[in-house]
Formats: sequence, structure tokens, C-alpha cells
Amino acid sequence: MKKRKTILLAAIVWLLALIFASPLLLVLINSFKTKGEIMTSAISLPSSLYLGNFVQIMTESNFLSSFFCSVFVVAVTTSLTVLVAAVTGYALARWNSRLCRILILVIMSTLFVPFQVYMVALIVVVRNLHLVNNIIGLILVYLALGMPVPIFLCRSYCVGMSREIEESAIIDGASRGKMVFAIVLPLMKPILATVAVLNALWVWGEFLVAFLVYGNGKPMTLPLSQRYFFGTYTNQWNLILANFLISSIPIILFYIIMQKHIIKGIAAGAIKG
Amino acid sequence: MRKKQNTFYLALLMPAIILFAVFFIVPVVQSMWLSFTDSYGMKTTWNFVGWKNYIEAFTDKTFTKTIGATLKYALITVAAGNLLSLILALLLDSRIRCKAVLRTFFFVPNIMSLLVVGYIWCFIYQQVLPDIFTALGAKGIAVLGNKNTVIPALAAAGIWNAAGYYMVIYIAALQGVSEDLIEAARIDGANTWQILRRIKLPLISPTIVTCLILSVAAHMKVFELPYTMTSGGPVGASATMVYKIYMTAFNANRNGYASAQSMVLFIIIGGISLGLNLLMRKREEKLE
Repeated sequence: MKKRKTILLAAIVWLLALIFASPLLLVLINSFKTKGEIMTSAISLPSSLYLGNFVQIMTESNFLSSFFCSVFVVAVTTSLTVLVAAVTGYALARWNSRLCRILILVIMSTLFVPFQVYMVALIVVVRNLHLVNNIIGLILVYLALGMPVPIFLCRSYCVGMSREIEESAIIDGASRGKMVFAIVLPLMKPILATVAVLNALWVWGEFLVAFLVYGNGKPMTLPLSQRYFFGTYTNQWNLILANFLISSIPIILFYIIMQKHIIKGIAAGAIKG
Repeated sequence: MRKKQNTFYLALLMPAIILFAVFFIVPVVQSMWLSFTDSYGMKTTWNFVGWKNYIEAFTDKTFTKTIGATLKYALITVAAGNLLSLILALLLDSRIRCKAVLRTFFFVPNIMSLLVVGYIWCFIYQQVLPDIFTALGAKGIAVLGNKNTVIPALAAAGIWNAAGYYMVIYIAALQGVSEDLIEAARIDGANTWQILRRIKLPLISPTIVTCLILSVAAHMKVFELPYTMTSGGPVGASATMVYKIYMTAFNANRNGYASAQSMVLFIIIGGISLGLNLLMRKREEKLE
């Protein structure tokens, strides 16, 4: 009786998993078809392993340059986010001042005011700073928008850290700066890894901010190039889907390698954020 | 000594303070203020127009319609999405094998860019669904071209994208439910349904409210799905509020009016979140 129930449960879960996977399976099989084959049937398996779509993407589109542009934006944004969140979180945990209380209040309010609410004015600000279509502008906006939850996570991590090590470092004659960068930040490694992975995931796939701040920038980030690609190759689903396939592989691999951090980070972010 | 220490902390906080000031406080304040002006595109001069933008927002049918469409979309994605996430979490919290593999299946749609999600579902509705209908010998309908089905169609894509995220949060909450408590209930003769209804769900109810608040805020701001799948059509039936704000600000260049629309969006999201919070407080008082 019990065993039968478990099998039934497993069958339901695997059926749901198949339903969830089916859109991606459709992307996979249709990436290996010609345009004509998709027109005939989008649900049949490809008649042969046609690789022309991938060749055409690599030779004709700016896939590689946008891929590396996205890698660059993610690398810089995530490093800066980790650094700023770590030092801010540390200072907020250790310094008991009115300024800190105000700053915490501001960070809390960012969690309740979504970017979409002030995006119009934000673009006006970015325009006034002459940072439109500028990759530095995009990175700064990502940094500012992505900071709040990382700062909170770092702050609560620091609150749980003992002060003794820091104090003995100061007694041993280390400067405050050295103490933070050589001792505190390495101690925060677990939380910083979580913050980095979640931030990288968000920046990699983000579209609306990039579109508004960096819409005509060159080279394009991957989501921007995907929009452009979709517009250029209207209805050539073979090429569009093949493009999605190759651009999704890195992020899926990233998830598989980093899943512990991702799962842990989401749960922590939901509870503390 | 003390002063030196304060200067040091201040230096550490400086980057964050500057970034929040420039990219959060200034635009938020400016956005409230712009909503009372006739600011237009790149023009550097504007006039105060009082409540005119707000009056226009509530009389402009093309805008009020987006409130309804967004609420309908959010209602479907929040209710059905959270129910699905909770079911998935309960299934994965049982004694099933290959949990990590299954979790990957449900979570991978969440790491895809929403833009790509929109395009993939566009492909499904335009190319795959008609083929399935043909294979079944049924007459298909253009799901994205019908004003009654377009919002549920977008919601399906939204749920596919978001379900894994909330599932992860629910799994974490379920793992926090004490094993002893469940064991004790089982010894007392409670069945699976009773354990779920009387122990697990009440214990994770704070998490359910958190997920409801998070998902309301997330789904109310949907932009990419109508942008990629329908461009707001047919005849504006799937234009969501953020899509409309985007069109008003960046296509019609009416920054002032778009800011007023943004404020309406903010008030609606804030109101729903506050309501859910109060609901939870009340429940907690009742439990105590």
C-alpha cells in the first residue's frame, strides 16, 4: 500500500517535470530543423541533425560579441556589488549611528519601491549624467538596483560574526582598512559567494534596465541582442530557437555547478529580504 | 580614536550612500514631482499642471484598462502559481528519489531571461499549439489573438518562469517543520492529509504570506511577456501597466503623465502588500 503510493507520487512528479521541460525540449528539437521542417510540423523530431542554424548564427550574427559583452558586464557588476555589499554590510553591522539607521530605512524602502515605479525618472537622471548607451552607466545602474538584498544578507552575516578577531588584529597593529580587507572579507566568503551567484544570475538575464539605459549601446548584452535577433529574423524560428539554445547552455551549466548557493541564497533572501 | 573610527565607517558607507542617493532617492522624488508636470521627452522646461495627469489617468480608458489586465494577470499567476509551487514543494519534500534532478527541471525556467521566456512561449502559441490541435484533429484558436485567452496565455508563461523560485522557498520552509511533530501526529493516528492541513500548512503560513507578497509585487510589474508576445494586443487586451508606462514615457515621450501612471502602480502594489501583511498579523493574533 505504502509502496504503491510512493510510485504514484513519483509518477505525478515526473509527469510535471516533463511538462516543465517540454518548452525547452521543443527549443532543442527545433534548433536542429530547417525553416521548412518547422513549418511542416513543430512537434515532430528533426529528420536529420541539421547544424546549419548554428553555423549561420556564429557567422552572421553578433552572438559572440554580445556573449562576451554580457560576460564583461556580469563580471564587473557582480564584483562591485560584492565589494560594496560587503563593506556596507560590515559597517552597518558594527557602527551604531543615526546615519546607519537612516541608511537601513532607505534600503528597506528600496525593497518596497520596485524599479518600474521610478524608471521614467531614473532614465532622466541617467540622461542628465550623460550615461545613456554607455556601458559604465548600465553597470552603475545594475550596481545600485542590485545592492539592497546583498547588503542585508552581508549585514546579518556580520552581526553573527565575533568581534574578537577584528579587535586582536587592531591590537596587533593592523590598520582598519587592512583589517577589513584582509580579515573580515575573507571571513564573509560563504555569504559573498551566495550574493555573487544570485547577482550574476540576475544581471545575465536582465532585459528592461538594459533596454532603457543601454538600448542602443554597442556591443549589446545578450538579452538585447536576442531582441534584436528576433526582430531581424522574424518568423525564422529555426535560427531564433538555435540562438536561444546556445545562449542558454552557459547559464544552465552555471546553475548546475552553483545550485547549492542559488537555492540557499533564494531561501535566505526571502526570509531576510 | 572614536572620531577616527567613525570616519572609517563613513568611508565604507560612502559608495552605497552615493549610489542610493543618485539612483534611488533622486529618481523617486523626481518621479513624484514629475507626475505633477507636463514634462515631455528631452525638453528641459516644464510646467506644473497639478492633478491633471492623475485625472487623465483615471479617465483615460487605454490606461484604466491596463489596471484590469494587470490585476487579472497577477491574480492568475499569484493564485495558480503559488498553489503549483506549494504542490511541487510538498512533492519534493516527500520520500522521493532524484530530488536534485527534479528540482533542476522545475527551477531551470526561472534562470532563463524573461525576454527569452516570452519568445519561447510565443513560439509555442504560434507554431506548436496549432500543430497539436491538428494532430488531435481539432480546430485550433489563435490564443494570443483572442482577448479572452490572451491574459491566461501570458500567465501560463509567467507561471512556468516563476514556479521554481517560490518552490525553492516553500521547500526551505517545509524542511524547517520539525520531524518529531509529524512523527508524533502519525503515532496519534493522523493521516497524510490531516498532517498537511493541521501541521505543515499552519506552520509554514508566514512563508505563504511572504511568497504571496513577493509574487504580487513581481507579477504586477510584468513587462517582458506582453512586450515579446503580443505588443499589448489584441486591441490593448494584454497591455500591462508597466508596458503602458513604458509606451507613454518612451514612445509618446510624455514623462509627466507616465510618472503619474507609475504612482498609480506603486499605490496598487503597496496597497495589496499592506493588505496581505495585515491579514497575516490578524491570523497570528488569532493563533495566539
